[in-house]
Amino acid sequence: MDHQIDLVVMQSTPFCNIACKYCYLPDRSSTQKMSLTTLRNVFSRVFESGWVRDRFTVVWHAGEPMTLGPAYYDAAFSLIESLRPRDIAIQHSFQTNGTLINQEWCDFIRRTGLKIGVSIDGPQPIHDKFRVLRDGKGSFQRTMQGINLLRQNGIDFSVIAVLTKCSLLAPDQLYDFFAGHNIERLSFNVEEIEGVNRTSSITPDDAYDLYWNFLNYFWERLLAERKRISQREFEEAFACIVRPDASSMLNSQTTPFRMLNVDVRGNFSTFSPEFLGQSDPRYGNFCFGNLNNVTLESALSNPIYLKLNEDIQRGVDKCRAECQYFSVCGGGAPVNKLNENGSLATSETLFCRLTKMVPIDLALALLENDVNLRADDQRENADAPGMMRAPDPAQLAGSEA
Amino acid sequence: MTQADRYRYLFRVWASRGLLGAAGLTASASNALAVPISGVQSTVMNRATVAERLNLIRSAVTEASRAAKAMPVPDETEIAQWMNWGNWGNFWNKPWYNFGNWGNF
Repeated sequence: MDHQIDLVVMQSTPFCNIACKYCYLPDRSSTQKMSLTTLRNVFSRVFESGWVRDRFTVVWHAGEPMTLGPAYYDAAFSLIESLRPRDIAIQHSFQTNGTLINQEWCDFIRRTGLKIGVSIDGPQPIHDKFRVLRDGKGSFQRTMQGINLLRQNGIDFSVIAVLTKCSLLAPDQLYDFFAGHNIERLSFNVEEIEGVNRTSSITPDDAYDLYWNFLNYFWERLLAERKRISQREFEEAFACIVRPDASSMLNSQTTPFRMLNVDVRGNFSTFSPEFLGQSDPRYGNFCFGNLNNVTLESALSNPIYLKLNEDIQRGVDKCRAECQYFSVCGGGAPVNKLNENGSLATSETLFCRLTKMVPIDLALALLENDVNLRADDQRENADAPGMMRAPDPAQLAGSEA
Repeated sequence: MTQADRYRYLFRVWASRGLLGAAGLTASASNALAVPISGVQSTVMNRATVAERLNLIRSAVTEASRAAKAMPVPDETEIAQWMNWGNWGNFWNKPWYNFGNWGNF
């Protein structure tokens, strides 16, 4: 098989300076940091493998990357740059809680072109309910200070908001918050049962309806107000649905080595990055060796990799056979199958229902609503705000080849 | 007018405006879609037909793409872009710092 890495998830440190109540990371009190020797070995192996082509992204994650300070990444980026073949481009990216952003970080971000995603869950009462500092106090003010500093420095950023039950019940508050703060790129991650987070504020019984109502409200206001918010779930859903027959889906969590995941010690894995730090009697620690000692290619004969891949592909086959959404998904998220269903060789999860089925169902409903409205020539308010009247078909015929 | 006809018509409109491609799709969906008058209803009871509904749309997109001068039948490069973009959010317009089904950055 011809492998191609698109994303390298690097755990420069497992440490996080805050203590979100829904966090899935098991070692977030550990202050280890990846040595530059390990870093050199990791990227030497990556480039030697021939599994990276043209460009790929490195996301520094699975801990709060900013706890290490800009000097660490100055050295790390320089080292990687010294190893990088000239015909391959790298985009570095942080997902951060934003609480440590200062002017030194802003200078670093501007100098290096680092892409920034900030995690903020909405207005202060909602954000502070789960995203707390280690002393238990809310982190909202410090995150907003970081966001304001990014803005003052003209630094573009995206936002991920984790949706808990209290935020799903307050779509108006979240919309007003994100629109009011002119957040231009917004993603939603629904709270998951994953890793050390063994419970969720969202129960399977109410999850679908809660999220449906939330997204429905949010998207309708987006459509009605024409806000310049790129909302990831909206865009992904339409991108998945409105595409030609000849296209097919790539699921990066079920395709071996589309994502390369490396922990702080240099241990490596693939498929769902959340496997890092977890263990299971069937798959050990989900790692295929340490890149200080072995090559990437050695994974292909590693028993853990072979077993993991076999079971994940069995799960994909099950999805293909059973799931109405397979053409817009490609086989689900392995880590959620294991954590929710207890087996990789399974199909539907709550995570599927929320992250795929709800957005796809809603986008389908919006499209069907649209085509049905257009078909009704007698509709009185066809030119009302939000409607774009279709041109005369005769005009379109003139544009055909 | 069948549902397939309606989709063909909708996507021909989008295609005629250059909106039926990876780069323009976001704009087409967010700017061209009608706002439901009283909210759309959950289609969870209609799940058995999801695959058929998705197929119907893809067929209409393909036909609209062929029909519109602005959007010829996708070549291999474009299909490859669709393959990536379809699972990658807004990758081709502006990076989402996100990866397919994995949404943690």
